[in-house]
Amino acid sequence: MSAATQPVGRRVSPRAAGDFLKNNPIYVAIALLVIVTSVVEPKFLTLNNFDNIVRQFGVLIFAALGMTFVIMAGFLDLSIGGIISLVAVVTVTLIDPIGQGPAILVGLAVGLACGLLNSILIVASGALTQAESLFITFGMSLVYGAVALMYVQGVTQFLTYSESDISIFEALNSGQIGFLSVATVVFLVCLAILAVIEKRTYMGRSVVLTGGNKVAARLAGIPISRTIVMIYAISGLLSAIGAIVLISRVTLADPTMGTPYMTQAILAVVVGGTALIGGRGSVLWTVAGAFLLILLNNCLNLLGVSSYVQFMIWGVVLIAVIWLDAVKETRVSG
Amino acid sequence: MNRKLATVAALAAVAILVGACGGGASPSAGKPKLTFVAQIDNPSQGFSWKMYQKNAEKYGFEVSVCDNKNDVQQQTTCINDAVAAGAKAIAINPKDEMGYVPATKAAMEKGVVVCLSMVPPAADAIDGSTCSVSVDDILGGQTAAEAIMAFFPDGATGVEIGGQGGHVAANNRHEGFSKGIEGKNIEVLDYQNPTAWDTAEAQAIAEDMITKYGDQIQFVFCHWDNGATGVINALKAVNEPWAEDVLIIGVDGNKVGFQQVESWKNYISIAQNAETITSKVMEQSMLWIKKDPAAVKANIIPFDIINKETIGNFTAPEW
Repeated sequence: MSAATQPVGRRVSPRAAGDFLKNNPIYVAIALLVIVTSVVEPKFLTLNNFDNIVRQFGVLIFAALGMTFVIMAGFLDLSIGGIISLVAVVTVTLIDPIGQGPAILVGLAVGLACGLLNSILIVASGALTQAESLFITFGMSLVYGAVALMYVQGVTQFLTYSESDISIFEALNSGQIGFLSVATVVFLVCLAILAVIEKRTYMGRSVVLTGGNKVAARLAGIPISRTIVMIYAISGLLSAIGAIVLISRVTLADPTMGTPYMTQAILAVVVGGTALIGGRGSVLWTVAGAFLLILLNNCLNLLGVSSYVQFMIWGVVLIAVIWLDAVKETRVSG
Repeated sequence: MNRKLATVAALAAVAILVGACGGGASPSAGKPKLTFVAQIDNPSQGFSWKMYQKNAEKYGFEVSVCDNKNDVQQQTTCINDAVAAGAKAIAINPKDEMGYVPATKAAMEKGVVVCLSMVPPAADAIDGSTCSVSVDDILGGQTAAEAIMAFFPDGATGVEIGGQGGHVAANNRHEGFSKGIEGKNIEVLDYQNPTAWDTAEAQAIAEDMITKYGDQIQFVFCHWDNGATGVINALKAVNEPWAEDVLIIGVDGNKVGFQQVESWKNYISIAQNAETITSKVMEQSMLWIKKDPAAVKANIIPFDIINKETIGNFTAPEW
């Protein structure tokens, strides 16, 4: 984000603009996607489709926002798939016994608890490398997924079967506050809080320093263990919020429904420009990354690209992103 | 600290193992073993496993399950492990059309009966199983085509949302559907598969198709009832009269399929009865073990058509 540091009021030179685009190819990718798709499929640039893209933005963005801090600190969290599934089934099954508000609070508490448990395991086992955190959280994803399956015996739970009031879920799905959907407002509030934590707090700086060099951070007195607890707690909580937005949208809770988000969230963060090895990133960049992924999916569907070709394109995007990230890292460290 | 943690973890693992193995003789000791190999987190297969457990006593089996985790290698491991554990029969809902065949052939050479559960063998994999019990998914696709033609005798346009890309059932349902509408006045505007049997993905695909084709969509053939829930959500979000009239055809006949028949204006669920299928697998497996001449290699269980007229004739399953 080099252009963001330009002094206010100074004209941006073509060279600075070029540098900005070179360092942030995501904006070039978004612009290209928009141009190509709108030429081939005129219905792409319609209000209906914009509304459509915003609706699809929901779950992925929450999971990806939580993942951003984890990756910035040089870790990974593969447990979010299991957490989303577990929170979803717990929340839906509790609506009738305790009411929708308490059910949502329990769901959020479950997500937070899962995140805290992840962090405790990582800290207690001394797993301070990205690979170690990857395996621990992957293991925990299997555990949370299995608990979700056992909890509902593999049976999908439907929001529409609830005999109690589900107005909060309906509002999250289709309610409006002014011209914004309720889910968008929730997203903006979360984004604002995370951006403040990232930019304005000691904890936010600790995340970046921990990701940059854990040994140096420890020597500098950065509370690494506390940082780990915080990033996984945030990831768990945001996964839980994502799960609640997801069940509001699809009106059901499937004990495996979180699985796709495990990799998509990481992809959104890295596509946005956060360094996979940690030390550099921003929740704002992640918003752009998630937007690009949703846009790509939407464009491919509108262009009628075969599902099998779409799988390949996702694979190519993943490889390209990791490659570009590696090139960028070499440039930064070189 | 780490050593303490490792000790606690090891003790917990031992306790879990001991608990899982259990002690003493089980009530089903002495009965032939049947191992069910499937992706257990797929709701239909999770329910099938419950049905195997429910009716095992009736058909004289001790049943166990191995989750293929949607992975061909794991599927092979499950088959090999079942043989090593002394299973007399393996009931398998394969992840793919051919990948299971080398392992099941090896099992059959050792005298194990292999019966496909819910899917028929692919043309090139006939010798990869002893028997099969299935609805015919190709027939299921054709049934969907016939239902659409009956609903729109003057022709119609619509879309197809397939099951998990590459899945046997999804391929067969698409093949049957394509054959069923061939040369007829039914036009499929678009066909997409999600990466998994995932409602959120089906909903996103439906939303994109609605954006592109709008009221040209008169029908949606979605390969599974839970996916059709996403289609209904997408159509409701349009909030226009044409969307309420769209005919939706789902497959499975599960609990939500029944509910959607009742709640959506035009909904048809093409139902496969998991209890009938799993019972038939156990019945046939036992006949093959006993080398009974009544054993049949290919057993087809007909689909049930659940719509507003017929729904009263069926009991909604619990899954």
